[in-house]
Amino acid sequence: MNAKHKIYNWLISATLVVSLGACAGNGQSVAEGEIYDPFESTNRAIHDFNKMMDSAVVGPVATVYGTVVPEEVRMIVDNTASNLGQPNAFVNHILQGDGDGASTTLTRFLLNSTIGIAGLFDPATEMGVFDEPTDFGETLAVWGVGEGAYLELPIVGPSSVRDTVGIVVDLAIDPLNHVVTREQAYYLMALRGVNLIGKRNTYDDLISILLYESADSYAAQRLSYMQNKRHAVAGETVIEDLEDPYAFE
Amino acid sequence: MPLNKPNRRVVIAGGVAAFLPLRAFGLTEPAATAFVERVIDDFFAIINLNQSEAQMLRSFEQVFTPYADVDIIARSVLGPPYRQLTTSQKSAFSNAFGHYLSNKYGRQFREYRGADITITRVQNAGSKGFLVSSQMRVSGQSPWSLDWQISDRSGRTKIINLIIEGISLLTSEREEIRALLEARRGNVTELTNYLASV
Repeated sequence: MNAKHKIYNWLISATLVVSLGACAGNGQSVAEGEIYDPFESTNRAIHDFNKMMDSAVVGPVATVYGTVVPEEVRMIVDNTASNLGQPNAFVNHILQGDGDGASTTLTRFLLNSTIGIAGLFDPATEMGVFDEPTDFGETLAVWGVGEGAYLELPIVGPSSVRDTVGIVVDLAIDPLNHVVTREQAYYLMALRGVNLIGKRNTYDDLISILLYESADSYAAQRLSYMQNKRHAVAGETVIEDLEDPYAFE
Repeated sequence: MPLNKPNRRVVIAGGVAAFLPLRAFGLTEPAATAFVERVIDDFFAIINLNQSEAQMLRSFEQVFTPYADVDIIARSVLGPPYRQLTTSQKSAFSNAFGHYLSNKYGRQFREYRGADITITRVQNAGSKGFLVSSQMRVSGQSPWSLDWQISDRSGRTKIINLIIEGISLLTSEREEIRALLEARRGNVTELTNYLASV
């Protein structure tokens, strides 16, 4: 990618961030802890499509992947994909002013890229240096941008207006995308795709409970996504947000 | 001020005073931690046994039910329809819900077999009880966060909510029960029968 393209990417990102700030400002007439979902009917249609894709393609492929590919190889795929995600997480930790997260991420990247043989293995986790994944959606949250409306994206799954902008901006700011050749970029994309299949296989039980055993899988997934995101952004369960089950009589 | 005719302030003060000793001598941070430690030991003793899922869930229910404030959770999750129930309907719903809840979370906990679980923090949340935070570590993975909200407002220290990676049992079950009830056109008896059958 040449310099002109980079500037162009940054401009798109900046425009998106600004317009997002504007959107998030007026749509937020929602009480604390509630979920703003003005696009529910569209989201539900996309949810049905995603579920259909999952049961027809992604789920079965993941099962085959889990059966045919040895665990060691699946681990290597997971480790490599995770290691190549560290530079982008590092940039976002920095943008969030999170020095601890940034240094943990850097330490992991250095350890796993060297002792871990270019990220094939994950000695960092064994040493107690745990992954602290983050993205530009979380950076926006730290900067005070509200989550905005809930969105379910085709294939990608649950998201929010803020996190969707985050996905686009991450593509532009990921340092890896600026050093790889076009050919390497395709391999990277393939690796990440295969890793998503691996994740689908690893979390099969949890995903099955959520998608196929919930009475309203759309609502269940929406709630899980939003609560999990808010928890990730806060870094902990906030006691002010706890509910008092005794309050209802 | 005539003493036999207490005004509102006196009544409130009296109420607060009557309430205070209960709180002061009630749950403390060390007691909350000790309670959760005991729960974790008992839960994981069962989860880590080499049993089939069905066997495990049966044993898990024996331990889970007394530790959880099932009545309070059931009431809070069902919401307004709860008020319309007769006493026997309430207890039937509560029993069925307890069974359903124990099965569902027993299966979730089974995912963390062999996990190392450590308590990382305890916070006093006032009338909302105590929040005991723990981390579950399965080897080779990043830790999962599991928070236990506990309270002794029913007379004994019990679990009133579980929060796994930010996802609250109370809120997600409220959503689920609402959908299940809707699918049964608001018939709580049908819902109760369904919950008892899972």
